[in-house]
Amino acid sequence: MKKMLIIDDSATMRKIIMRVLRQAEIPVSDILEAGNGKEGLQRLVADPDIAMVLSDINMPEMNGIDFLKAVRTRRDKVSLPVVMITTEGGDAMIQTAMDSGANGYVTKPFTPESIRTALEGLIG
Amino acid sequence: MAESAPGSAGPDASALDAGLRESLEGIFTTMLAREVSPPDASAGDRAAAAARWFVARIELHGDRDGVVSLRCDPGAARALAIALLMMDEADTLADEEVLDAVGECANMLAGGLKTRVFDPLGYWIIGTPACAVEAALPDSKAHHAVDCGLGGGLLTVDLSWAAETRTAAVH
Repeated sequence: MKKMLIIDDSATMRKIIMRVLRQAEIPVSDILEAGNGKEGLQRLVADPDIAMVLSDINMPEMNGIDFLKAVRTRRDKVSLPVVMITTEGGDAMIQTAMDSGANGYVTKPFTPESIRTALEGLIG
Repeated sequence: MAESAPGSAGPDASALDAGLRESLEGIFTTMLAREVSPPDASAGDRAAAAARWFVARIELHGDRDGVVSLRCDPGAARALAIALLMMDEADTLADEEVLDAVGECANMLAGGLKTRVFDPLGYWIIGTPACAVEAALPDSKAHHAVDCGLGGGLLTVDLSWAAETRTAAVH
């Protein structure tokens, strides 16, 4: 069982994602939270047991794309699974996220099935 | 993020009205497991008497500047939060939690509108929600609006352009 980090500036959305992860029976031992990319990066550096990240894109302090780019510069996090969960559903933003190293992309609003599909194969 | 050329003249009124409604319907059916329905006959009176409104606004910038707003009277705001958070009717919710839920709903609404209507036209950006409990429903100069009933209360979403006087509404 692995740890997961959820990064979103909305406490509501973090709670929704946590419930959906439980509903989808995603096997995680612990779920950590962060309110923006900067906080998420700090959490990630402090806890080497985080095995996957779900991140919003539009956030204050540090957005999800900049968070993703920062993660991918770290040698020990190059292959860390990061899935973006965001309202930004346009092709350009999806491409930007994938080019920046995202492993998956879920558009809000979402169903539990879309989360499960996005995480399939990314978490053991 | 990648920059690109400014957007075109902007979408037409019918596309905006449809986009606003479709974005709201997407949230209701996917996250709330219900349909968007008109407010009941007495919702307007209750709304007019409401001392507080839960309001979330998101700025939209492109070829024009605008604001997407979501306004809920207390009944609709609480019902929205309960449904989004999959809680029970009897559960207690602080104003802060209700306001955050309204903000997240506005976030999904603005994002859905941007994806459906604005992204195909060029480069547009949306901000993060600015949320507040306000004393009264402000006179809306919205150019595109949808009213719906939720939890016996009133929820309104609208898009207003800066420095524009033309109005259009969908109910």
